[in-house]
Amino acid sequence: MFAVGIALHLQGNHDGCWPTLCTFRRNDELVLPTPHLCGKPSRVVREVSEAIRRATKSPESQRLVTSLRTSHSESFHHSKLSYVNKRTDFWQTYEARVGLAVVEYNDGPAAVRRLVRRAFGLSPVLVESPATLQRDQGREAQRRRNREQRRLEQEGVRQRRDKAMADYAPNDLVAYGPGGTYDPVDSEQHMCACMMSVATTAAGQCFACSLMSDDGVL
Amino acid sequence: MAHKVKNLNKFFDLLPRDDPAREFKDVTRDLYVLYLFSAIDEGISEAELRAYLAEGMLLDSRNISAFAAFS
Repeated sequence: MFAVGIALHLQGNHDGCWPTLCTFRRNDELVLPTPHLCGKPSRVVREVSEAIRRATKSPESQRLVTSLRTSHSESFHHSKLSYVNKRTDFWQTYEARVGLAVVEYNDGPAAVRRLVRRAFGLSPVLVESPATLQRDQGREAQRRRNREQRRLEQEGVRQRRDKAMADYAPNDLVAYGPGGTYDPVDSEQHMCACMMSVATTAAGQCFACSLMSDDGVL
Repeated sequence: MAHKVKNLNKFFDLLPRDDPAREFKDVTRDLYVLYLFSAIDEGISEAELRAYLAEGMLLDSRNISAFAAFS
C-alpha cells in the first residue's frame, strides 16, 4: 500500500499522504517536481507502482529495529589499512601484514614490535629509545581516554536503544540480528590470571605474563 | 533502516535501462526515508508502520476509498 501511496502522490493525488509530512496536502498551489506520473499512461503507472512495491517490500515478521552494529569491524579495517592499503597488491606479504594488523588491533603496537623482533631472533624485550617510549605512552594515554569516552557513549546508546526497544513492543516480530538484543562489547577492565595487574592483551594476560608466555616460561 | 535504503538504491540501479521506474529512484528513497523516520514523531508504532508499508492499515475510510479507486 505504501507503493500505491507513492504512486498516487506522484500523480498529484495526496489523499493517502500523511498530512504532517506532505506539503502538497497543505498547499494546493505547489507543483510536483519531475519526475512525476501526472499524465503518464496507465501502463507506466502500473510498472512504476510494481517496481516501488518490490523495492520497499519487507520480509514477513521482521522488525524494523536492528540490534546489529558494525562499528567494531569498521574499526579493525581502519587500523588494517596502515599495513595493507588498498592501492597495492601485497601478493607475497598479505597474510603477514594482516596478521600484524590483528596483533596491533588486539595488543597494541608494542606487541607488534615484540613479535617482529622474536621472528628475527632478537630479544623480545625492547630497549626503547626515549622518543619511542614517549610516543607509546602518549598513545596509551590516548587509548585510555578513547576507552573512557567510548564507555560513556555506549552507555548513552544503550539507554536510547532500550527506550526505543521498549517503545517498539516486539509483537511477535523477529528483530534484525542474532537474538534481537543489543550487546555492546564489554569495555570493563579485567585482571590477569596472576592477579597482579590488569590484563592488557587480547589473550587476557598482563604485559609481564605475555612476555613470559612469549619466552615459553608460561 | 540504512540497509533498507541502500538496498533501495541497488534495486533501482539493477533495473533495465528502459524501465520507466528507473528515474524514480531518488523520490522513492526520499519518501521512504521520510515516512520511516517520521513514524515515531507521528506516534505510530512499529507494528502499525509495518502494516502501513504492507497493507495500508493506517489509512482512514476516505483514503481507503481513494486507494480502492486507484486499484
